[in-house]
Amino acid sequence: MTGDRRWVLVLWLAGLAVCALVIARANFTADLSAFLPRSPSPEQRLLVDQLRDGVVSRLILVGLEGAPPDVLARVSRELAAKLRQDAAIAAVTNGDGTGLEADRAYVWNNRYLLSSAVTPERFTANGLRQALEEDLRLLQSPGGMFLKRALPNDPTAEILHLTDRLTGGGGGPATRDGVWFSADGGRSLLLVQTRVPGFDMEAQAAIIQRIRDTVAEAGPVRVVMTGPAVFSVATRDTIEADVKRSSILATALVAGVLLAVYRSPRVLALSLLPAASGTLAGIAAVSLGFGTVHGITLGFGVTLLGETVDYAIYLFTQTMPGERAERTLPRIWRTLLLGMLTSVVGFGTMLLSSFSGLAQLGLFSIVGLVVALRVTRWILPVLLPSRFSTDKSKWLGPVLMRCVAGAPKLRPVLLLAVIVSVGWLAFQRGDIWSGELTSLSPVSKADQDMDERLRRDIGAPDPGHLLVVTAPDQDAALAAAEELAEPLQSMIGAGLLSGYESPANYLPSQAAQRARQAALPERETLRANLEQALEGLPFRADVFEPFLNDAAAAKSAPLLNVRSLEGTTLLLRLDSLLIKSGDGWAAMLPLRGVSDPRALGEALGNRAVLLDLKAESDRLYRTYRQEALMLALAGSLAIMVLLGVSLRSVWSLGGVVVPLAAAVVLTLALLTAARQQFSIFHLVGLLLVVGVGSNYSLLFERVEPLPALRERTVSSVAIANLCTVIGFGTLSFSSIPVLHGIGLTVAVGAFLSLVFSAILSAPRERAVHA
Amino acid sequence: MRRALTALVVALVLFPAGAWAAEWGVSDLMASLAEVRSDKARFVEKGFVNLLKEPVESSGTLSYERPDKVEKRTLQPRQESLRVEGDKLTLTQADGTVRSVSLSSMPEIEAYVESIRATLAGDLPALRHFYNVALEGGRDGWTLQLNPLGPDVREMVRLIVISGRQNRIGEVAIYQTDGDRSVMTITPDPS
Repeated sequence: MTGDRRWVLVLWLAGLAVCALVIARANFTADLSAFLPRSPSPEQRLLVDQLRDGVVSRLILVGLEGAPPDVLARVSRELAAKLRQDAAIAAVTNGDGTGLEADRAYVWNNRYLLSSAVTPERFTANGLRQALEEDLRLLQSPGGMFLKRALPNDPTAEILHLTDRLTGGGGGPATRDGVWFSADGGRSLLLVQTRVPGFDMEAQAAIIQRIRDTVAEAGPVRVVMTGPAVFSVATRDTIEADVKRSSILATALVAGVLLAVYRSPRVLALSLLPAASGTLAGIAAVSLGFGTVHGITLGFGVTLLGETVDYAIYLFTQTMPGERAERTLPRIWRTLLLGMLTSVVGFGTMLLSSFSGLAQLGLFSIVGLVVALRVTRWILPVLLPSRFSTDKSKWLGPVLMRCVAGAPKLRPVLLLAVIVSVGWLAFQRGDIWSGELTSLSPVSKADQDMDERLRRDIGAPDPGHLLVVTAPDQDAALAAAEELAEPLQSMIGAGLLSGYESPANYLPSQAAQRARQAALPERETLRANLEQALEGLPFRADVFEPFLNDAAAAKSAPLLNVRSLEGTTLLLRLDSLLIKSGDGWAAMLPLRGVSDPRALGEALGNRAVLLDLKAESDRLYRTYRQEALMLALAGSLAIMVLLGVSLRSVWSLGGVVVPLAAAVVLTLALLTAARQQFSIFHLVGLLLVVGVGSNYSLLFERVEPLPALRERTVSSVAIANLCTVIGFGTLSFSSIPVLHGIGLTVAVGAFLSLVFSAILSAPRERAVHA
Repeated sequence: MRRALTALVVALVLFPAGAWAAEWGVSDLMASLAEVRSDKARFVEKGFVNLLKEPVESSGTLSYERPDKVEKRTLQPRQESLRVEGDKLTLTQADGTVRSVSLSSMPEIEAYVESIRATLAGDLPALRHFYNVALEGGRDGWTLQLNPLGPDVREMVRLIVISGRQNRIGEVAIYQTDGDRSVMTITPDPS
């Protein structure tokens, strides 16, 4: 071994050590937002932040099912009691009334500060007269028996006004045996709010496990859970399982193929070396470039295996018996380099993507490919024994050559297939595209449906439309929310929406509270007004003495602040609607039953920002799909230019491009025929088909000096293709959309590229030999 | 016909009147009430409320449909309605305001509703779930005394007295804990 060679080895090992060190210190995440687009506007960023660690992200919806109602009710009560002692859990609501006592007390005791109906006119003789006449009607009504108890304290019925506002007319979920149940009685329901943030996966996973354990102990009951944190934890587990499974499967299959063909463990070990080095370098690069490594990026590692195994295979098969590997390399280097470059260009466009997850995959693959090729170029020849050569497989070469020789006969079939595919795709028009952002979500459709069912059962607001107002401080944000009350009320009258929730319902601004105190007359004035109002009405004298006391107390009571709500469940609702955002505060007003978002937005003008979450996210998705389409086209064009410049022949370029184009069209047609909804990830997959598939065309286009070399080329391409199909193919079984979409598309597309290259390139080969 | 008459005569001879009355109990009353599939009646309700110097009066219709639908529709002095179906109570006021509550979330209202609904349905277990039930009188004139069991309900209602003959309710009197009371007289709907 010469000094130069030793230095190369030392450098390589040192590089691997550095990579290992970087990886050991790397931060791994499974944060879903990496595969959601970055949101451009501040309001949307606010929402994404809320989804990450806001109150919404700390909600776990629990459903208990699969047992008689009395068992479900008992388990619900036991689970709630156990969880309420858990330090990691802020609140558990299951309809059993815990915490409601405090809510009722807060609303009742502070009704004059909370009620927006408190105005000076309401406490004049005229205003009181109207209220008392209403009370009299109430006493005669069927509900009188239940409502009359509050009358001596509250003749103006502030409590009714407030209750209507706070419950929003919904009345909450149905209850049985004192706990929440779904309408059909088949499922008891709990709402758990964790104290730990939603992104703290370890803590969330532990809480979810504690809930499962408690239910398992309590009885033979099935538990279903949904919510952002539940989904994050489940996705993390799925990613881990998928990555593990596909890595093992792909490695075993690729190793099996190589062993079957070369029958040498040493060749096997050596061909995996570039892939292993590339994977290490790729992960280290992502860690350095992005700060964190996403679990999905690791899953993508197996595709690198399929890709880079090609290099080693090509080197081995091209080394003729008696030839030294160093001598082989210059002969094949140009083709290897060009193949690597086309793949790098393909992955390179992913770097520009707005999905930070896709950019990670791009960086990972580029670094991995470059390093793998370098290892093939500099390290493998050093490690190969001096008289190394692979045995020629006795049957593989001849069989493949016969296939290749017969392939051109299939040209009419290919032409027909392309025509049928184009027709099929034209017939599908735009329908092949999934237009929804949820198509990118790793949460399965079944889980999303379950989440929707539980949400509907519990009556948790579906944040479809949301008004957002921002202000420098908390009180100003509340005041801004209060200013929306009047326009919103008139819009309800106009039928634009059916209702709304506001943080100011739970905590009015200081100014509003002061105005309400000012609206209450002095005790003696109020007494005089009341006496005048009572004239001619059948109420007994002195009945309303408690009212005079309560009003006088409210007039001089200290103003309410956030601390006043402690111990109530209302505090949680306030927390979710009034949030710190950047330097200021934002008040959010969820709207119900919005019939015409456009008219609503126009009527509001610039008083508040109307967020239509579904439309907003779908619009975002379409923007990003457009971006992905542009990137894919630009990437394909760059690959064409690269090939054109290298091949310097229109005829050769055509020989490479035509099979690729046919493969892309047929892949698209096959996937849509298999009812795959096309997402951005499939699009990225198609780009990779171009990047990876061009390697096969390049090799088929190569003019070999000897028929024996030609046979070796065809064998190596076939084996390399098989490995690529295995690498991406194992990913297609993943339930994570990004892995499934890219895996399936590339596996199908890469295989078709090879077949079509064989079909379309053979006649030229014959011409050369002639 | 003749044989039925003979049987009746034999029965009257064999079982003296006193024994006959002892046989007829709460379960018999409930069984006969349970036979009614649906019913409609008129009511006049007088409320004696402490807050007021004079009683208030209202009237309207009552309707019942097996197993769990009861509606009290007040026509005078204003059109209002209280409707119960399953676990849901809906109160519609004269001005159109509609309020809904889940019965089981408000035990005192649930008990009140069941005093009438469970009686109409002839559902003794449901009635006994909320009340101590005592029956006086016979088939042609009975009085059911319902003493609330739950503390929530007792805070509001002291006693409910339902009286009637055969399988029809004639009067419901509610004695409230605060001294207020209401008496609802029910007559068959002539229509």
